[in-house]
Amino acid sequence: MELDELKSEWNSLPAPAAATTTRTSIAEPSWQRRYRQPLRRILMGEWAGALVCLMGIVYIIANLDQWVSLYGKILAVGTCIVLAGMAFIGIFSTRFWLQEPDYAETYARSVEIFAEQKMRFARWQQFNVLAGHLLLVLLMLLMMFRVTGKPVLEQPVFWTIAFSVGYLFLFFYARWVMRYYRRQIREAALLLQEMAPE
Amino acid sequence: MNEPIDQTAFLAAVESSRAFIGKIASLYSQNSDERDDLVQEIWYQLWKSYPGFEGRSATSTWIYRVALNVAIYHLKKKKRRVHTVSMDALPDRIAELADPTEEEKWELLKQHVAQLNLFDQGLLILYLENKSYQEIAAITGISESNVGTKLSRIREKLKQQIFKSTNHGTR
Repeated sequence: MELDELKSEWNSLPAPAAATTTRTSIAEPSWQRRYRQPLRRILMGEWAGALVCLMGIVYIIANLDQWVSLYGKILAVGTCIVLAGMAFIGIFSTRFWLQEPDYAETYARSVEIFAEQKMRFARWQQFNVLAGHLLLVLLMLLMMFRVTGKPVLEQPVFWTIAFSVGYLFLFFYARWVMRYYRRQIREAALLLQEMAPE
Repeated sequence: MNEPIDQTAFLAAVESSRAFIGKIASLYSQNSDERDDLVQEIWYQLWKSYPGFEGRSATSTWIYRVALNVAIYHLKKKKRRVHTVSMDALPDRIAELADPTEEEKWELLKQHVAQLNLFDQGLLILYLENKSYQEIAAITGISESNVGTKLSRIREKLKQQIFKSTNHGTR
């Protein structure tokens, strides 16, 4: 559609009905509280994930004596470190969603901040996906020690099947997720590039 | 800062922008419920920032900035991508739709605007609102010459989209 035609249609279309009702209720606290809820729902997923990671840490520490060998204990501690890192990233990266813009800021600056925050969030999430790879390996080794009580090298069948299936799943899932975040970063970078002064 | 806001003065200040608030909410939302939420969010943020306004810029500049910024924040909350729609799916002109309803016209407008990046969408909206280059520059924070250059590019992009869809033989 040509620009002039767009302008003509824009001016001819009336505003939707919602815009024409009198906003006398905006001062009411109950109305204002309602609009904070969608944001809390978004954050709940991230915080729930962090909580699961923390519960995992508590479980491992509470059962540390189950892994009698030195290797088992090292694996357990390493797993706790990775879980703690993932929980931290999950909570830390939600700052992106919590940061309200300065609504009086210029539109260009707001779009810049939006793109930069998106890129930052996507990079943190990519890091979490990589940590997920490492976590899967650690957890399988850990559980195998726990389940069979025998070292890895004496359980080649279990090792081969469990690791292959689990890792294949994670490989394809992580590839899909990483592609999504790479696309987000690329789009945000392109947006910033296109906004640069001519 | 906690003095009660004069509701009458506030409504008088933003009265002339009601239609714009409704239209921008329509463009940045995907259904009527979301649109209504966004309209109320814009009103809420205007209400909140009204005491701090102090007339440092034109009232319309302040309103348009707040409305556009709320729309961006809304996109962020919805984790929405500004994704493109295949031009093959769009009619070139509203005239090609037989007896288009207002909803269909809005949908077509939205789809054409959605072809542009987030910043260009804001520029285009302000141009459609008959804002001068000077006003657009004040609202967006870029220079007047940059406004002119970017609007020319937008015009070309829209023309190219029509050319592409014509050449694909879908019409």
